[in-house]
Amino acid sequence: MTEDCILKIDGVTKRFSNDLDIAERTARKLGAKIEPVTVHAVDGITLDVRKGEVLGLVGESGCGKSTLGRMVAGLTPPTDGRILYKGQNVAELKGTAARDAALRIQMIFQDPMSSLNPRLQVRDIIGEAPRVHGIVGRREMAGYVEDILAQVGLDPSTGKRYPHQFSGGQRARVGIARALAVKPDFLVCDESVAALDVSIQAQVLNLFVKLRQDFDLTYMFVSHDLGVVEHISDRIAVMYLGRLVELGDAEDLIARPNHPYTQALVSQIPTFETGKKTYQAIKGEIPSPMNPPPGCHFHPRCPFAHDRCRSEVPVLKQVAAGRMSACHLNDSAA
Amino acid sequence: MNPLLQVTDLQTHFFTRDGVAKAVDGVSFTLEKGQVLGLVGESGSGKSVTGFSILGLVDPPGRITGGQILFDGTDLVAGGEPALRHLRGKRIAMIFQDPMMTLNPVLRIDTQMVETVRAHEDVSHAEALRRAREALVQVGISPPDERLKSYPHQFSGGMRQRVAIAIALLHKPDLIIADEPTTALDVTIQAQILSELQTLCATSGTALIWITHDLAVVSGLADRLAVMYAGRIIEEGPTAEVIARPRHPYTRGLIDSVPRGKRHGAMLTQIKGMTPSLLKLPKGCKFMPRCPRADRVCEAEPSLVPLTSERSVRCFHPHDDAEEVLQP
Repeated sequence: MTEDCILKIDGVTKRFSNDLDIAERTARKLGAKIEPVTVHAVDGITLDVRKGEVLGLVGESGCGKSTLGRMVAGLTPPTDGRILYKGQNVAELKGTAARDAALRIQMIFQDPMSSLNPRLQVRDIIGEAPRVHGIVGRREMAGYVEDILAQVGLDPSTGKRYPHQFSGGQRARVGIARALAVKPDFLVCDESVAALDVSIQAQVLNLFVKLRQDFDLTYMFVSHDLGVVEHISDRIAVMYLGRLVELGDAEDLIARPNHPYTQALVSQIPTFETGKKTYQAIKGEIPSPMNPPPGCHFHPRCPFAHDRCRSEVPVLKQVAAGRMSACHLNDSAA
Repeated sequence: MNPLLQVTDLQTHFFTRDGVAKAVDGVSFTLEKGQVLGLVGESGSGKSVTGFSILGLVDPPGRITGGQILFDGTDLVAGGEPALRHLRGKRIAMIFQDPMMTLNPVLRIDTQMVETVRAHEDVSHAEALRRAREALVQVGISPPDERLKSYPHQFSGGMRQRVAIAIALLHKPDLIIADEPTTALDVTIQAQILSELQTLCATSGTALIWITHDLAVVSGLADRLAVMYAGRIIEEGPTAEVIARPRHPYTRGLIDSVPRGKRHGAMLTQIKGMTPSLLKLPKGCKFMPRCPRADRVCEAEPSLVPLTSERSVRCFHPHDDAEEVLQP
C-alpha cells in the first residue's frame, strides 16, 4: 500500500486568523478582551492519495476542500502537519528539488477567466512556464504548444488568440493545457467543471478521463457536485467543517454511505425523476467555521445525535474494508 | 376555463451593434393554475429572457418585438407598463438567482417587506409588518421578529434566498417565476428550498415557472417541461414523458451528458460542438451542426409539431417513442 502512495497528507491543519488593527491593539493593551478571530479551515486531515487514482473531495461551501487542494498544490503552506510527495516533505525541500516537486503538482482552477492572464495570447500562457523552467527550448516551443492544444481538443491555430476570444468550455481547456505544459503527474482540479453548461461539462469530464490515460495522471478532484465526483473518482473523501467525515471506494460510498452527513448528501443528489419527488431536507445550516459546535461538528443537524456526539470528537476509523468513517454510531452498533 | 398564462409566439430581440440577437424567437406555451413548468436550457438558450419578458423586465437594447402574453385574460405586451405595474409583486412574483442583487443592502428586511406589502395594498404599517412576519415564518426563518430587523448581509446565502421567497409570497401571487434560484446554493440548502417551494405551491395553488439549466433538479418538481435551444422551445411535454422518452436529439443529449453513476468512470455521451452564437445561427434547424441524426432535410426550419395532445417536438427525425433512456 505504501509504495503506490504518491501523496501523503499527514495531520494537516490550516488556520486563518485576522490581524488586529491599530485600534484593537491599543484597546487590548488597555485591558479590553479582544482576541484575533481564528478560522479552522482545515482541521487535522490525514489522507493518502494513491498513484494513478482519482480522489474526489466533496463537501459544501466553507468545508475547507478548496483550502486543502491549495495546500496540496503548494499555493499556501499548512499551519500544522506535513504534505509528503513521493515520501518527501514538500515544505522542507530546497532549490531544484523544491522546484521540481512544485512542478509535478499542478492546479486547475474553477474560473479560467480569472486564472488566465487576459492580456497574453494563449500560446504564451501555455508556453511561459515550460520555457522559464527549461522544459522546452525556445525553438521547439511553437510545436510544443500546438501539441498540447491538440491534446486538450483545441485547434492548434487558436494559440494566437486571447482568453476572451474563447467560449467557457474552450477556456476550461486552455486552463487544463496550461497545467499540463510543465508535465505534471498530479493535478488538483478545484471545481473545474462547476461553471460549465451540462453538455460542455460532459466534454470536459471526458477530456479528464482521456488525459488520465494518456499522461498517467493522478487527480485530486475537488467539487461540491457529488454526481460529478461519483462519475470520475475511484475513491471519495467527504469533508464537513474542516474535518474528514468519510472516505471510501466511490461506488460503495455512494451505494452504502456510513456517516449520516454522507447519507444526507447522497439522498440529495438531484436525479432524474419520472414522478414527483418529495425533497427531504437536512434541517439547519452549515455552522460558521469561526464558531464550530463542540464534539462532532455535524451533531446540530444530525438526526441520530446523542449525548456523546455533543462532547466528544469522533475519530476517523476503519468501519469496513477500505472504508473510513468518523461517527460515534459505529461504536454503539458494534 | 382560460389558462392562467398563455404565451403565444413571443419574440424578444436584442438590437446590438453587431446585429440582432433573437434571444427568444417564437416561444409559445400555456400554464394552468397551480401547475409547475420547468423551463430548461443551457446558457444563451433564452430561458431567462422568456421569464423576464413576462414581467416586462427586458432592458434596452432588448425589446419584445412580437407575440402575445395573456395573463388571466390581460395582454401584458399590449398593456405595457400600466398593466404590469398592478401585477408585478402582486399577482406575478419573481425570484432571482442571486438574492444579494434583489435585496437592497442598505435597508433592513422589515423595511423592504413592508414596502412591498404597501405598494399594492392600502394597509397600516402594523398590519404590513404582521404579514411580513407571517411570510418569514412560512419560509422557515426563525426567530422572525429578530430577523425582520436584520440587514441582508447578516443572512447566509440560503437564508437570503428564503427572504427573497418570503417577499415573493407576500401577496399570495398566482404565478411565481423562479430564475435558477438554487444554482448558487449548496446541495443541502437547495433541497430545503425545493421542499419548501414544493409545499407552498401545493398548499396555495400558486403556479410556478422554474427556469434552470439542470434537468435533474427540475425533474422531481415540475408537472411539465419545456426544453429550449437557441431561443426556441424544441421539446415540450409532461415531465415523466420527456425524461423517460426524450424525442428530440438535444434533450436526449442533455440527459445523457449528466453523470449518473451507473457508467462509473466510462466516457459520458457528449454533444459535440457548442451552443451557437445568437448572432450567427445556422440555417434551418438550429441544432443541426451538433446533431447526430441530421441530414439534408434539416436544412429547412422544423416547426414545433404536436405528437400527442400533450407532447410536441421540433425535429424532423425525432427519436422513437419506444426507446427508453431511463428505466423508471
